[in-house]
Amino acid sequence: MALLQIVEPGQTTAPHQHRLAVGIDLGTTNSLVATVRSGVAETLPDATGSHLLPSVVRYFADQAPIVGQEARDHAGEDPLNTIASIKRLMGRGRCDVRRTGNHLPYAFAGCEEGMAILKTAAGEVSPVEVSAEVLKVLKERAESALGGELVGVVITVPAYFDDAQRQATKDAAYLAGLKVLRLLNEPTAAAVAYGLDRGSEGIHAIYDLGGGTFDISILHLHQGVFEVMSTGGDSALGGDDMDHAVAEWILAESGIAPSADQQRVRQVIEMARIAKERLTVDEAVPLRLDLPDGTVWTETLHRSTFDALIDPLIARTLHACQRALRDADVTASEVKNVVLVGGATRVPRVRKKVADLFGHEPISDLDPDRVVALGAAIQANILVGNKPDDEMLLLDVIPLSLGIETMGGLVEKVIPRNTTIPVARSQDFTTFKDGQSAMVIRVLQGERELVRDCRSLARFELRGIPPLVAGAARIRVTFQVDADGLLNVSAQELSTGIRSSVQVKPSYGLTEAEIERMLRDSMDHAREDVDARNLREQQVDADRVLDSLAHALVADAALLSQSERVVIDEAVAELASVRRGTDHRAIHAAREHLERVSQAFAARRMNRSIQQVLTGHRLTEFSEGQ
Amino acid sequence: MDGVMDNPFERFGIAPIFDIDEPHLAETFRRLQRVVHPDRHAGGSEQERQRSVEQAAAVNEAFRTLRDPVRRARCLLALRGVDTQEGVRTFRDPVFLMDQMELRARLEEAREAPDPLGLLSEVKEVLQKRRVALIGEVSGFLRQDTPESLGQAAERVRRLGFFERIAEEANLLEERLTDCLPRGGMD
Repeated sequence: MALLQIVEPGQTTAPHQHRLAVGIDLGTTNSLVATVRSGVAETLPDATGSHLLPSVVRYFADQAPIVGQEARDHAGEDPLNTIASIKRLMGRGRCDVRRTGNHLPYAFAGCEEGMAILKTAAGEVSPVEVSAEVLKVLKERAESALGGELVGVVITVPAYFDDAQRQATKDAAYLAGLKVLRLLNEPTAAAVAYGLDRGSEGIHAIYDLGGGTFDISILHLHQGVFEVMSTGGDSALGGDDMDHAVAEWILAESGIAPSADQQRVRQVIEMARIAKERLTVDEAVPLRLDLPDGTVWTETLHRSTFDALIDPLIARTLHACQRALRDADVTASEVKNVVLVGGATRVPRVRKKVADLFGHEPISDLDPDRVVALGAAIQANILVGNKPDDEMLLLDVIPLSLGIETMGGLVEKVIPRNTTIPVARSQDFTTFKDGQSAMVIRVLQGERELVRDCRSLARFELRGIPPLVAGAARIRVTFQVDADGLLNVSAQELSTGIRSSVQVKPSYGLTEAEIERMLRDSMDHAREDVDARNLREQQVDADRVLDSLAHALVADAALLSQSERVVIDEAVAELASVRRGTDHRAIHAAREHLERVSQAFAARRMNRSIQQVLTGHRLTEFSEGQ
Repeated sequence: MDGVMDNPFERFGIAPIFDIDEPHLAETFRRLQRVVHPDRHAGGSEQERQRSVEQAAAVNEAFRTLRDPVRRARCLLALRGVDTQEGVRTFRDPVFLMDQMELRARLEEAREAPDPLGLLSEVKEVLQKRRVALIGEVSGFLRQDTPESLGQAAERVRRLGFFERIAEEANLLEERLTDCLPRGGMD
């Protein structure tokens, strides 16, 4: 055990202090939080020793919501206020809900357009807020287990999540007071947890069938680099659908289908879930249901019947696998290992079908429920800087093509699916009226040619186009997708160089104002002090910047002239000084000032590292023993 | 955009020639990403992280150009001031045009054929053969590096562009034949 290092508050953190970071698997059915302690990744249990937190939130009219097992236990008696499987509604609109509507027995509120909103005893809540409740519980669990505030988290998302679903997840984390270091794709997280890069170079497939989502990723591993070649899946297909298939069978066989109410449907779905789990071991399970007329219905569900019920679902996953292989331009036989992830891969029929497709037995040594959280924890530990020498690098892809609407309701692809991210592509537009100063660009995600068959992500309104005659303005719009898979749009008029401002209206997301309102509401509810939260956030940010700059100055002081160094040192002293106070605005201003004056230094460091790669390459090959 | 680094060969620190050392290219790609990728700058300032996203995107884009022979050839020709004039110039070579029409006709046939996937894979095989042969020619012409040979290389790249479009159509058809599901961002 290392000696404790005592640091004066506000001082730059000592070089080797362990920074608290966690990985969170925000699942459809269950969620987990994991961290790396003493070099080992482990999931964190709650007070009762349970690691899995059921992703279920129950709302009340007059008390704070409860989350987890207790909420799940009461789902049957209070179905409209007990929200489960909310992940399926993240970044979704009302029309999407209607398509899968029969599975989701909630009361929906609000308008036809925009994000789905649920009506509960506590008022209207968005899926983002429901997810934030789950995240808050995990945050508290981690902070009490680790004994301090978290510096940052990595949250996993299905690889197949589109931009709206990713943004919704990030918004939920913000509401829960978490600093997101990275949204990590679940299959990639699993590959990290397995340490597949070590001694197992080559092509691997990760088959991830969770409670409500399915992902397949084909990865190429080489010396610590996880390069995703292709990804595919279905963000609305999972173990839940198996439960529903069995539940529908029970409702039909028992003859109660027409008279079943919400509560009854919930009860039967729960029964189906238990039957599915037992069938992973047993060949048959007895079913028993008390009917409304006082009689009792009994039946036996054999594994062969169960297999027949779920085969169409498995077939959908296998199609996605074939497509991912085709996109990666590899054959099934070139895949060295197939890794199974997600609770639903415990189903024997799934294992058999996957083995048949790839021609060998899949790997599942790690607990399929925990593996994603473990991988996220490993990545979080590296991102906060606890392992500065680690060579691991994750290169992911965009799962669905991004395009823009053109004449006649057609989609023109700007960034095709399976492009490595980050990526930036530009497209030039022109005005069609004299003096036109604004234009609207609609961005879509999906593979189809028609706008109506793709998902609308957002409308970007460009303003401040300089007044020119029609067709004279050349507006270059740049679509940038960052490492989280999130889209950012910027625009510039080429002849004048004037930047247009870009206003985003997300199709199924929340505007910044809405998120701020939700944040204030949730704080009113928890009686948390907004100022206190702002102060903590600013302190954490200040420490992060001071810390990383201190390291940079030790390593590369030679890149600065004496006068430049003086300016930076003064800004550091200023930030360290206000950091000790309680004025979050002053800390924010001092940090921004420091970031500004050290910007050129950061750029020089990056350029120098690039030059080292390019010129020192042949030499270092020997010294690094590669 | 970083004007100085717009040349993908410069970005990768390699000579602007067609026949490149592919393992070295991939190795340089990984080394560059280890330096510029946003995950390497998670603790940095807002500006540093934005810069890192831009640099990582530029490295990805350069790698995409360099690793694919047709994109690489197009880029080399552009660097030497030769416009491939794709989509502008038409072909007058009757043999090439016949070949194109025949391949397209076979794709059409595949839609209705009893064994569409078998026919498709035959078409794809032919396309692959044509591609390999043309890339070999492009490589030779670029090595000669005379105004005449560069013009020849540009003509071959234009042909490659045509075959690529047929290959894309073949892939789309294969997708449609094997996927029973409509695809959007959801089901």
